[in-house]
Amino acid sequence: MRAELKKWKRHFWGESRKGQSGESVPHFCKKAKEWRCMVDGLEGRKYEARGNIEWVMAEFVCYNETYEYDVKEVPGEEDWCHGHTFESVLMALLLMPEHFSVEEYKHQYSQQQIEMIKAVKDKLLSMGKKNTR
Amino acid sequence: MNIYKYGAKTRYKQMDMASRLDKSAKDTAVPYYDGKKNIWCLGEGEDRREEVYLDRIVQEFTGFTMKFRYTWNGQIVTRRVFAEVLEDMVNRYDGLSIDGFEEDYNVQQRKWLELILNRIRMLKTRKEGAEA
Repeated sequence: MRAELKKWKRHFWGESRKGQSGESVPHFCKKAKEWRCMVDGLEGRKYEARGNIEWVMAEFVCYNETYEYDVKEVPGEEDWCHGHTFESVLMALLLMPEHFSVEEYKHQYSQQQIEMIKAVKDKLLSMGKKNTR
Repeated sequence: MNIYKYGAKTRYKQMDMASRLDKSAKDTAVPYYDGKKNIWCLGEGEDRREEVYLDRIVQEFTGFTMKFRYTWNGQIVTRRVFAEVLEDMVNRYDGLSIDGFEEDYNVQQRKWLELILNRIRMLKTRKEGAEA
């Protein structure tokens, strides 16, 4: 379990100071099978962002997407859900399809993303899938 | 000291969701995460499909295809996953354009692509200037 968690951490949050390439443009490290790029950190320190392409590109330009969604039938103020990639939205949808909705946040999504969410939700509900908690 | 500016909490949340989709993989008819191989899967045995990107596996799952188009060197290139467009930008920063295909992207993606292209071009120009 510990080894598996370590692997997942490397996949989702790659971090290590060994073998930094110094490259300031994102590049793919074939050995580690991850993207890497030197970026500016806090207090003028540079560090190497490592991980999937979306993470590294977000660090590269200090910008990422924000996708909001609702998972409850009547969401309260404390139920603010969001992700920084469309993949994270899909993950939440797979886990909680019953009342999943992006109706209030359509402006953050493209038309095909909205259609994809609808297609996934319809299929999951037709298979009788419930929220996983 | 934590010098990461963005989303440490977000990444743990993503990791947590993926681990739950791995544990719930009793039903392989729904996309699930294989934590050992770090890939997304659908089905099992000979019918098992494996992909790096969840977006792609979900398209197999629903039959709905997404498209992200851009032009480069006079050619129209179509990708099915936005992350693949990001990958392409690293080598195709010179001449890549999404003009005419804005509908494939949302406002945030368009802004992100513009920021990335500008930064890569600036760094490459700076590097070439230094080498000259």
